[in-house]
Amino acid sequence: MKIIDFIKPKTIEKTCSLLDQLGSDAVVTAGGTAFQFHKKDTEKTAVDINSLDLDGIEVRDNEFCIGALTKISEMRSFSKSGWVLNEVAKKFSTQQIRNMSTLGGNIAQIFPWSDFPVALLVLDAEINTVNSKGSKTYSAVDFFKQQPTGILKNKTLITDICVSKVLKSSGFGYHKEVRTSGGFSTLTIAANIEIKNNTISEVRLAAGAALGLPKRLTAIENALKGQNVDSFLFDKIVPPLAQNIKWMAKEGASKEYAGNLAKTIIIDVLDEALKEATGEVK
Amino acid sequence: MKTITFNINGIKREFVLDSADEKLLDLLRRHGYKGAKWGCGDGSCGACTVIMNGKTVTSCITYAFLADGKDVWTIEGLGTLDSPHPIQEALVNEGAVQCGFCIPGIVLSAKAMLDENPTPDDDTIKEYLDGNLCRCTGYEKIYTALQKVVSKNVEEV
Repeated sequence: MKIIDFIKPKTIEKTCSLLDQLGSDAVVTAGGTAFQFHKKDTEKTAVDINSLDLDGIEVRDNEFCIGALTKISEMRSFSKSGWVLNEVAKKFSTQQIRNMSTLGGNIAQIFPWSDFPVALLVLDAEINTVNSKGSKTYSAVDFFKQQPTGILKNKTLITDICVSKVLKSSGFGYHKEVRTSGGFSTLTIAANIEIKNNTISEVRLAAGAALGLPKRLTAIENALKGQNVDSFLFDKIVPPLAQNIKWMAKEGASKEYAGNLAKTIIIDVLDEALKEATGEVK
Repeated sequence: MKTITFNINGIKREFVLDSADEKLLDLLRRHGYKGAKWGCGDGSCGACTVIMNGKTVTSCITYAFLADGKDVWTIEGLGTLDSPHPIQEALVNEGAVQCGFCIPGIVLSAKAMLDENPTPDDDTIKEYLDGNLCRCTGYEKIYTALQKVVSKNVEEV
């Protein structure tokens, strides 16, 4: 992609009006780190949104709301009870890219390295957007059902993303399988488990990278809900269900390899989340 | 042609862009700031690292227009041959520099880290330097040099 001009609007209203006016000739620009992966032969006008007041992490009663322009490095260094996205941020690319990339940019289009959608799916995230016609909120499940570019259509901005806190009796697990520390993911798995009366009352499990788009693994979730934590083993329940998922081949990993990897990693991530939920590890 | 203005190594300067598509690395090198190197060209090796508003960025993929109004530091702004920056001095003393291609980026990554946290632990040092590849040294002497800078900072604290 070639940038042929740039404009730096100061307000959301002005930004939406510019996006309406420019249509497909515009590209919303924050960190700009993903542009090198766009088609080389397209020419765009960059609408630089860095002047908009859309960064920072707001702490609310039961959730955190993260401005779309919040850098991944800010998410890495943020620390509050119930905040788990620092673990995702830690495994995201390199320090320089963490300093440049924004959460909004990471979820506006799903690339193989879009780590955050997988975590957002298990944290019951809500994605708030705005365009010239008004604002709209999407659940993470609805937002990632298709390429988000289909929702944003070059006219809609992501303003902020709200995620549930992972509080007492809940646990979060996350794994990103990479060949080198800064590399793109071969398989990403996240889990969020809630325990009540020694039973799994809620479980959200999601996978990305080795699937076309990140998804909740609902068959496994349903099989785990209601299980007593003392009397079952993940390695009995997970493998047959994971085998039914259509894993995709990635660079350096066949679909058979991705499938076998998934069985192991899903169990590890669920174990991690369960140990945190039961208080065995914090 | 559009112009942008930013502070470069503490001095406010206006730059004429070659094009809207120009990357910060190209603009800097065109104006004589050649310490930042063209390495991988996709932001993964760190040879082009500069500091922008206190944070390291890979200038090979940073659009120059994004630097408008910012505060940019390159290796030219740190130390001199007669009076090297403490990070540069530590790297030399430890024999941590071989071909030197990656060193400007490593020095700037270390500076940004120490400005933010003067006493990082070993894991933090590795995390802040995870975007700087060195094909000569195997990193050990670089880490040792930085640990010595940190030890001095600890003594001062």
